[in-house]
Amino acid sequence: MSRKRLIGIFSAALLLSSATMAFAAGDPQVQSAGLWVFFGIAIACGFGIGVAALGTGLGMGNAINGALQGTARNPEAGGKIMTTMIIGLALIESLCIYALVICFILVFKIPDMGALFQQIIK
Amino acid sequence: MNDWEKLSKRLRIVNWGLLLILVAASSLSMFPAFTAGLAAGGLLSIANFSALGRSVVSAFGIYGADKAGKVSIIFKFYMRLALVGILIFILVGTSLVNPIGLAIGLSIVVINIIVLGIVRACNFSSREAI
Repeated sequence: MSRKRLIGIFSAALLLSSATMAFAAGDPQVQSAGLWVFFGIAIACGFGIGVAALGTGLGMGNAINGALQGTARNPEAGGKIMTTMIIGLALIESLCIYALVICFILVFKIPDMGALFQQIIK
Repeated sequence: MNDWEKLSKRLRIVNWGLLLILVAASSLSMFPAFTAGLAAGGLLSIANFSALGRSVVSAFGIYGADKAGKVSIIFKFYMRLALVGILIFILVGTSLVNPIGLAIGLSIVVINIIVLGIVRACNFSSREAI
């Protein structure tokens, strides 16, 4: 991993942790930083699940395309091809479900949402 | 019994076995929220896999889908996805379960399929060697 990428990851982690800790302090500047973090998480989740759905759609479409072509060329092998396709589809779909879980974790678990909303209401 | 029925039966048995083993091990060694996440994720993934199999078989089976059936198959497909999303949202959003346990539970079918693939590949290569 390159040095620049490492620095980027560390600074993002530092920003996240410092923003979460600072909500308790109630500093207005830090609150706005926290809102930026929340904004970033919302954008990341939206793009993340979008990219995951795109990849899953492409993968499933490709798998079904191949399976149907194979079945049309060799109908006797249709049963085996469909079995393999279902297994492949389950594997592909699980990736999108993982992305969904990670998005929910990002939204509900990483920022202290209760504290964030309390600060906004105040 | 065709290929899919045989494989599906085997996968179902191994899925439930794996889920039971993991839940038992987790209940002995981990905290309750983790075990709940594991059980919920496992149940969700097994139900999702069997529903996916059923919808694909009905859509691409020997007789295909008739015109009235196509709409219901597509509707069921999207309803299944929506249901999975809503259930995961409720589980994670209300902090009922531990998300790491949920992710491991959701991986049960994937782990099972990968293990099955490895076993089949090993069997195939040993047969080739003979």
